[in-house]
Amino acid sequence: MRLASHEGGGAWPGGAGGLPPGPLGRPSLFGDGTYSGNIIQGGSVLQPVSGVITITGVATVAPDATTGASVVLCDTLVLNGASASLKPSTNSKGLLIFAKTGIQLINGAKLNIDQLGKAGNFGNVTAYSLSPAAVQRKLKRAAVEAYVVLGEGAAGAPHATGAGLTGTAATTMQSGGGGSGGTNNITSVYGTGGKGGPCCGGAGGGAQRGASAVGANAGTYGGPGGAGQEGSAGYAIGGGAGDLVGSTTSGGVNAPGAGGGLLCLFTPALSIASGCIVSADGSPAGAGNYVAGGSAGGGIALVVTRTGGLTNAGTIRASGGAATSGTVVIGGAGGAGSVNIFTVD
Amino acid sequence: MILLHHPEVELSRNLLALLPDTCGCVDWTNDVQREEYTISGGLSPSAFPSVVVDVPAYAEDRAQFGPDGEFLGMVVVTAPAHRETLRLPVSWDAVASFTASVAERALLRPAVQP
Repeated sequence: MRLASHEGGGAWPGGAGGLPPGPLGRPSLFGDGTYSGNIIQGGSVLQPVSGVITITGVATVAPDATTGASVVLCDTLVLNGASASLKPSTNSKGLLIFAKTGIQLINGAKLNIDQLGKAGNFGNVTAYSLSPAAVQRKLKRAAVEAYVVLGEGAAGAPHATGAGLTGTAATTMQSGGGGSGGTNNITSVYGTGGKGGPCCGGAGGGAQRGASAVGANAGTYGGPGGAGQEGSAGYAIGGGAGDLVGSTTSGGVNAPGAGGGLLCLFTPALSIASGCIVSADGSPAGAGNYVAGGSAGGGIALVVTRTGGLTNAGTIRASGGAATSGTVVIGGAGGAGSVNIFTVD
Repeated sequence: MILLHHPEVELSRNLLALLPDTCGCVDWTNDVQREEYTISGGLSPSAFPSVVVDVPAYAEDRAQFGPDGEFLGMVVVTAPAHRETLRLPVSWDAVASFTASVAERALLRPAVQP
């Protein structure tokens, strides 16, 4: 029997030219170069060509059923074009990429875990602990575990007597705090933002109107967003952004998402061209409500490369969600998350 | 006026390259600069770059609401001098337009005496 040759690895994830990917590389900080086979673009699993995975459209990675994080193992990853993006398919504990040779973003491409953080008190976490067992075997455990993400994020903003306040900006290896919701009642003490978690920026507080409304503080460790609270009239009062987003009243506009998530890139060489963006941004609150809720905090971006391996002409960021305007009162912005760059020899 | 700068953000690098003489700069990745800014009571940023600007006191008309949100009428109050953070300004011209606007507002609606 003669086996037909085909390009791109075919049924051999990580292979090239129709051959299986052996012999396997050794476990390392950047993985062994095999492909995890879980990047979806246009309904199909992308396959490497000579070890290079090229993303040209909207691509996603589903969270692992066991760890809850979206983890990619590969040799070389290229995102090419303004339509090219890679993000988790849903709220995730993190977008983790181990690329043995390199990651390149060109022509306006985006790599992000914006508004897709996962709320929870998971304690201090590492990219190793969030990786499924099949990936862990291909990592040098001690090297990866040297980078610890703090389990407790920055504080949320205190309640506001009027416009919401901005959440606290993160320090190193920490997510940002959530913004507080607005209120049009100066006696209100509700609507505080929540502190961030290791996998999600802090949730925003709910907005409030009228002295008889109660509650609306955001949850901690990234969510949920505070519920909008109304006194007796039927105004649309905004909830805070978070995981889950806070509810609104009277058909108000919900926040679009959660805080920024955890984005970890382990690769010897990361090249980001001008106009390209690597981000873990928090969600703003819903726009157009009578009183606006608080926005969520920025997440955490962690980049580990070889010394001299980072070439950034673009942007790496973890912005908090922007303050959201209300008809009467504006909500607070989410605090900035952290961008953490490390190099190894 | 203070630029809160992050070197990994393209827009922030662009603003830093054209930093006006009247504007200070805090590199958020510099522990000493960040701590000094925070300890001095600086506003917490939401994103980088941000520009912290001084806003002079001015008078404004403010709606008054009852305990359950009912509208009671308008009063003239003084908004005291304070600082605001401009998030992601696209250029120094954008910042200048804001500072010119608030300066003009303070002239047209000077703060009222309590």
